[in-house]
This record gives sequence, structure tokens and C-alpha cells, in this order.
Amino acid sequence: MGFAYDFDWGVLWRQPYGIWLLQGLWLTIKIGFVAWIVAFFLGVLVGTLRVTPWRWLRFISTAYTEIFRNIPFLVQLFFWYYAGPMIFGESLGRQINQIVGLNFYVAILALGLYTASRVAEHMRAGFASISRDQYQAVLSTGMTQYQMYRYVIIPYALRIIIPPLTTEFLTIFKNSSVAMTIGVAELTFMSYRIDAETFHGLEATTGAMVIYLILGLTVVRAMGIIEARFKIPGMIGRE
Amino acid sequence: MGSTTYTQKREEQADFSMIFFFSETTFLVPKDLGIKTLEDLNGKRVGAARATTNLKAVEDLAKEGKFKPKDIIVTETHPQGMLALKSGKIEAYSTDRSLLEGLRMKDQNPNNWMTVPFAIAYEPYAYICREGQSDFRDFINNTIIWSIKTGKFFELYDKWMGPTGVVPIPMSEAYNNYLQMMVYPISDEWWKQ
Repeated sequence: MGFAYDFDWGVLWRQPYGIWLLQGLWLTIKIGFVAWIVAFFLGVLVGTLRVTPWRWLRFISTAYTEIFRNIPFLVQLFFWYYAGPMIFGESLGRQINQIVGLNFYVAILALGLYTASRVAEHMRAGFASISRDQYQAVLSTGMTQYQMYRYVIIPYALRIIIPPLTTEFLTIFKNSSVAMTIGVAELTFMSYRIDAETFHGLEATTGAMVIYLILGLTVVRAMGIIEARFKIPGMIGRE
Repeated sequence: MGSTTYTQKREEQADFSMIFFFSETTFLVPKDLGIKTLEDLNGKRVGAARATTNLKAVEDLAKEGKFKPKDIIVTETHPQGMLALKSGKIEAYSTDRSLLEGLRMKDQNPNNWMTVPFAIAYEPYAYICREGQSDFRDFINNTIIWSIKTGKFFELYDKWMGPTGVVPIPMSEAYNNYLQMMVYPISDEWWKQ
């Protein structure tokens, strides 16, 4: 008995299936990039607030980090999509539900909020790796706390944590596939759609895998260039 | 009984038993919306589950310009489709009438909802089985025919979809005739080889 499956790699470029994969890729890239912008700035802010001297800000940012990084992303996504609008009350919630493309915006927001908690943790690690006397040296020049973080400590920490940030940037594209579950037609969604219409799921999934791999390797390469440009000699990597 | 729609594309990769049920692809809508025809759904947001023939039927109709929905929302599961309907994300949810009636009956207020009086596609249901295993396929077909011949099929239909069943779906004249006509001669103890 043979293998009861006829491979047909043609589904990867036959129309409309080929164009579906490309449309899916474009949506994956859009979600990943915009969510990364949200995650990066929010993560830097939250991570910084966790080490500031103000107790209440520390508490809020710690609570944020722990809540968002300890709940599975899929659960968070469902929560924001189905329960999120209800937070604003019955009438406003119904208006939010009227927004065309709501699932796309929710996917970006949820992914951004989730990844921000992870970026915040990396920031904390970055701050911890800067020795205490460096902080004191900055303050002794007469800078305020705000100026110290804004002009010295945050840029310093960011240059140390480029490798883990590369991983987070990669992960955001991979996590964007979860957006499929709220009907966002990104790359994984499209490969499953091809499966449903042609029953050639093995080929479609393999195609999606290769595309994700190329996307990931591109990100690694781009971040590698940034790392080579901005790393602090002696702090990351060995010569 | 599983609910797999028989399609030629699927037939290329798997085998199907004889067709034993027909379902209509239609919509579940809030009763007070007064949807009577397909045109009443113009400008409304409609939903369907991912990777279903129902979604394809809705998309094809929209593409052909038979109706102009404001948006087509894809959900992961039928209960999520019901949730989207209840929270106002969509005004109509599409799948087979039997499944929609099931969703409606499970809701706290079944009377708030109704399935529309028209259908946008008819779906033949069959059992799906592995490609190229004709003995097993014969066994399934014989079981279907035998159950119709002995009346067991109708007993089960009544239990689940009869007037007092879990999801009442009246058996149409045409469907009943189809079942009677497809019975091929079969011995009473066919499984004894």
C-alpha cells in the first residue's frame, strides 16, 4: 500500500492560492511591525518604571508585567476581542464592535501589550547589568532622575539587550499566527484556507513554513546589522 | 453522525460514503431585524466559521454581487460565531440550518433569534473515510442502507431532529423520497460475510 496522498506542489503558485499566501504574508508583516512599535515603546516605558524610585509607579509597572506575561497569549487575544469592547459599557461596546477590521486592530493591540511585558523584563535585565557607580556618576554631573534615564541609562541598556530584543522581534511575527483564531487572514490563516479548499494541507503548511523561515532570517540579518552598529564593545559578544 | 460536506475537491484526497443527509446553508439572525430575503442582508456584517463550505458560499455570493455585506467576519468556532452575534460584531451568522438551530436552542433566549426562511446553498452530508479502503467504505454504506431499511435511521432522526427532538428539523418530502429510493437490495445478515 502506498502513501494515500498525492502531492501537488502547484497549489503554492496556482491562482488564487499563490496570491492568498502573499496576501497573508503582507498582513503578517503589517501586524508584526505595528505591534512591535507598540511593544517596544511601551516595554521600554514599563521596564524603566519598574526601577524608578517612585513606589506607586513601580507597583503599577510590576503588576502590568506580571499580568501580561503570565497569561497565555491566545487567552489574552480572545479576551480583548470578545470581552474587551464590553469593558466600555453596553452602548460604547456595541459601537466598538461596529468597527470594520476590528479583529486586525485587536490583534495588533493584544500582541503589542503582551510583547511589551516581555520587552519590559529585558529592560530590567539591562538596567541590572549597569553597575551602581555608573548611575551615581550620572547623577553627580547634576542630571535629574528623568534626564539620567532619558539620556544615559535607557540608551545604555538598550544597546546591551539587542540580542534578546532580536528574539522578541522574531517571536512577534510567529505569535501573529495566533491572530488566525479571531479571523485575521494572515499567513497561517491563508495556508489553512488553502487546505480547506484543496485538501493539500501538507503543501500549504510547508509553503507557510518556508515563508516564515525567510521572514525570520531576514529579521535576524537586519537586527545583526543593528547589533554590529550599536553594540558596546566588550559588553556583548567577544572579539 | 459526523457532519462532513461532500465536495469534489475533498474527494481527491479522501473517500466518501453515500450521501445520507442534506443541510441548507443559511443564516441565524436577531428576530427583530426582520430579515426575509437575501437582499435584506445588504449592508449587514455576516459571519461564518473558518475553513467551512458555508464561509465559501457566503464569500462566493458576495463576490458574484448577489448581496453586498458590509463585512465578512471569520470566527474559529460556531459558539464564537454565536458570541459575535450576541455582542453585535455581526448581524447574521451562517452555517448549516441544523447547526444554527442547535446554537439557537442552547441560547438563554432562543426566541430572540431565528433562522432565515431562505437558503444560500445545499450541502450533501456523508461520512468521510480514508482514500482507497473500499472494504471499509462498503461497510459504512451497507450500514446506512441497512439502517434505512430496518427503520433504525428514522428512529434516530426522530430522537434528535424530530418534533420533540433536541434540534427539530422537519424531514422534507424530497429528502424522505431520496432515502427510500437509494436503498439497494441487502440481505439481513450482510455483516456475516
